[in-house]
Amino acid sequence: MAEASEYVRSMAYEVFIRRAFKTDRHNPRYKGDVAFMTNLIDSENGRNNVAHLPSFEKQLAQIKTNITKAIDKFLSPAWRLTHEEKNELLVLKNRLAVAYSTFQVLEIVNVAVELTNKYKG
Amino acid sequence: MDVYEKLREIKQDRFDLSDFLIHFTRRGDKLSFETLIDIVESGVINCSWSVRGAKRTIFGSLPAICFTDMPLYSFYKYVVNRNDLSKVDFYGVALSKTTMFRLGARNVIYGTTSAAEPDFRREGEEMFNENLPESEQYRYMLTNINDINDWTHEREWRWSNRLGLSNGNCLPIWINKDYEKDFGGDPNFSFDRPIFLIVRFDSEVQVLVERFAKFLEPEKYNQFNIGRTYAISLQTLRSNGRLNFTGLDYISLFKDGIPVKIF
Repeated sequence: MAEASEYVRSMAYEVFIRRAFKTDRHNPRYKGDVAFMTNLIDSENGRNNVAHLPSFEKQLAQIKTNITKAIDKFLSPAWRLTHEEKNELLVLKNRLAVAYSTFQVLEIVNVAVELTNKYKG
Repeated sequence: MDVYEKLREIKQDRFDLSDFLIHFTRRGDKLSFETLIDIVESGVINCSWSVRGAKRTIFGSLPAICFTDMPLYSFYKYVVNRNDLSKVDFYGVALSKTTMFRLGARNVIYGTTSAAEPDFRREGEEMFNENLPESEQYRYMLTNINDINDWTHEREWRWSNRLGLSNGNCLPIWINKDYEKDFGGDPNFSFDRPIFLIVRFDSEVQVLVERFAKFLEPEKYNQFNIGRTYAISLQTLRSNGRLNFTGLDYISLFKDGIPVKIF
């Protein structure tokens, strides 16, 4: 089970997904629940407590897809981000594509959360 | 008031001036950060011919290192506005302008005063502008404000090993060219101000710190420069609310960044 500090760090993921899709954590469509990230951290650390979970690589790919979709959502004209914010999100998207650890993914998510702070609910 | 103080007073609160020259990296075969790591690991910045489209953009017979004289925030805005990481990215090394001037760095000459630029003399791959002496060729940049050849906004400086201070066509920063035991390093290439490594993410700062942890031997590595090298990340600047002219100006007052050498 994820440690408390890991749970707190993982919250950035949920915040970003929920913010992008204006949804709650229980909507299965966007997979925005913090548990997706904590499960990934568990798998990375060899703490595979949940038998039905796929491999770390598969979970990582899924999380990256979810975040990429959220970034794309923010890049759509509806959000009216500034040129600068869009540019920075594109940099994050490129970086996410080559991320291979939860540390890197969460770092990207944290920056993305900060960039989109004006839309916090 | 002496001249030095007077000059300081004149330059005070000028948001368009910088005490630093930034050598930035860009995305090519490698990511911009990987190129920065290569620079750090080699301890030097190598001169190049700055080839664009199979043509040298550095004139004369000496390759050079390019810098920009933009203040850090202007540099950030330039990266954002240009929006092409293969041309410019927010990664680089910021070096003291005073020291670089002493080592022979000079501002680029954007065109000469002649109405039309002459046909350039070619010797093999080398190009020469007949209006400039051989020693100043490396500073020349073809410029015509009325058409696409206007890069004056880059406020470029260049350094070549014209004074012969370095062992080759490279600028030693974290490696000693000469070692003086009493000084504890290489006095010629020791910088009078902090050296800043500019990156985008905090985790990259950590990578830099790990690389510098290997730079131990004082005879080989310039401990003086290493001790005053700091890493600053865009991520921290943003989260600290420093991503503005004033915030980044604060950095140049030596009060920010993470020291890469943890003793």
